[in-house]
Amino acid sequence: MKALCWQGKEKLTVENVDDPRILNPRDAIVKITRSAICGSDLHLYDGYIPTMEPGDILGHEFMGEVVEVGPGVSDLKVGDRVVVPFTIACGNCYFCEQQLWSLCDNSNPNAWLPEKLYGYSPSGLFGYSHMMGGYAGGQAQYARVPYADVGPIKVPEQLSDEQVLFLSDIFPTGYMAAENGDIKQGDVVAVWGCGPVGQFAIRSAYMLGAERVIAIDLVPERLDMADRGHAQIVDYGKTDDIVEVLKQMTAGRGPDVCIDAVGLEAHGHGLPGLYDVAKQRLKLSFDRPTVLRECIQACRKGGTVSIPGVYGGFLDKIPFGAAFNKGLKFRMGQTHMMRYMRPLLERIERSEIDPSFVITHRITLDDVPDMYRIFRDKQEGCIKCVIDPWREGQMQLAA
Amino acid sequence: MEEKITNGTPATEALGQSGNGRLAQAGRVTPLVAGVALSAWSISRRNWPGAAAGVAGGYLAYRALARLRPYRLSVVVGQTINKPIEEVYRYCRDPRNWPVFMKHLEHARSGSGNPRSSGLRSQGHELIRWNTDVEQERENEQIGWLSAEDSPVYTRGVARFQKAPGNRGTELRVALYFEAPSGPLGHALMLALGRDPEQQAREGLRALKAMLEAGEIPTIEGQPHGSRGVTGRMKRAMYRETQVTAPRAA
Repeated sequence: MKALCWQGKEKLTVENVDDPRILNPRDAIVKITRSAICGSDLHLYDGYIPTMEPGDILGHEFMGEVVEVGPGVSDLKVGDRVVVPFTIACGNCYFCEQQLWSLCDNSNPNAWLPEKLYGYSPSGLFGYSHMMGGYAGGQAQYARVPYADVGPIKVPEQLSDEQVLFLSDIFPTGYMAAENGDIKQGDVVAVWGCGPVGQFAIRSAYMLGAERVIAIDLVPERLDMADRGHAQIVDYGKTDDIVEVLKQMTAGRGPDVCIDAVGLEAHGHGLPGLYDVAKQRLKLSFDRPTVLRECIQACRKGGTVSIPGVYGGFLDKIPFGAAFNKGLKFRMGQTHMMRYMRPLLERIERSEIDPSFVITHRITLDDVPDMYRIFRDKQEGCIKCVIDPWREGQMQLAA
Repeated sequence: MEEKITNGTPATEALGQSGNGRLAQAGRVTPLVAGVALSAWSISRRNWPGAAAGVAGGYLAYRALARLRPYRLSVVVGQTINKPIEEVYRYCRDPRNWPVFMKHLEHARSGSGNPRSSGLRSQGHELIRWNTDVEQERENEQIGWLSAEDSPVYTRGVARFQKAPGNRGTELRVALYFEAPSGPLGHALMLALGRDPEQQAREGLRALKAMLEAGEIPTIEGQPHGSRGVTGRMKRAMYRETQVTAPRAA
């Protein structure tokens, strides 16, 4: 089969590899009909995530048709149309039972690796480095899905692939980010980062009772999309002091909830920004926490900082004194997918939201290596692209 | 009928050096003598080649001495398993499940029926022998084991089962001790237990937890991947990885 393989920093190849096969009784094999590139895949592309090996297959947002099931899978059969969550969970450990699916004890074959860095290992993820399990990902034509009786959900015929694909990651992630904010009726929510996760966080915040959502980004088309989601937009490139801007927009209070949907590759300004970039280049730190710092400073006293943005290592110069003395609450983590997929599918079925609004590009597998660069550099108005792994050739990269 | 295995029998001879033969003894003593001689010579020189010889000699002597010492290993690991004590205990007690957490050692029995003289082997060579499967057994609380007097390698250990706080299931704690005399047996034991025996024990317990909770052990061995490139192939050679899913020729 064809698959998108990581070969080094900013080096991706489309290669002909073996088809996946059933390795464990609870596995299933899915023929992928649609897949996508995630903002967090860009951290792999830019070489910020350790433990990648040349030849690793990327991709963790995919859906398709079940073509084979292992003997331990009872509620899926060949022919079922499913969306597959990016986290892998066994369903029976303490964490799965507590609905903390992205913390499953039994889905990371390399659990000892993150244990060394983090103390304990989170669940395995598709296509996201050997530290997170080393599972082959979904930017390919087929994928092996472990614990297939827990993860994949069946989707109804009348919804198109594009309408349900984002249940695999970004819609639940944006929703959990908003839910983690403990939004109360009438709250003001500020969202840094209007990429796809931020877009879903904006719409989810309104679903959960926010009265006003402020959306912050640099890129014009992303601000436009946020505006269409009824957010009040702030152009980050035109302001020197986002904290002051937010204070004025909230008449001296600060937003009740601050959502960091940017993560470790934040664009900083001025000297602090340069400092972060320099440290990253020197491999002294993994992450650039510009946005996290701003969230902490800007948040109102007693407010909540919700962090769906990915971080990997150690952070520097975090204004923890501000966080402590303002009594902030922090909620974060990889999305507990299985908690949200079904309820959000129901919202899509009730036409409360059509997630395909984020799509700007539709491409083939051969387009993908170039697309990573375009996506990262925010060229061509790219916000979200969807891959048809069975389509041949190269499409002109426009929606 | 089990043959008593001692240094010098075919099994240990196959390991490379028979324990007491003159050739074997020479093989152990030579590096030590060479190392000490090199170090002594280097001290008399006052130049860089002399220093290099000193380092080489010192290392040789250290390696030789290490092989002359008995091999001792003590490990304590624990894991919480989301199943009731009775189920965990029953699973651990059944020798048919032991391969789950003893990947590197094969368990073999001799005699029929009531387990007598069972042992652990590595690559066909018996390393540990017990007269009975377990000692100090308290149902749903503890399993202990102690090697037989004529076991090539001495080992003792205990696994303790306790109810975990709240509804978390069972806390399983295991303490292991191995001791092997110097020479080929110690070396074989070291090879069998791998570079990091504490990690082996931890992974064994993790595998046990996965079997009990999820019914399978998570794996990616055998999954597809693209070309590993130069560094990948080098690592494969270094780690002696035998299972390869090669990319198909384009």
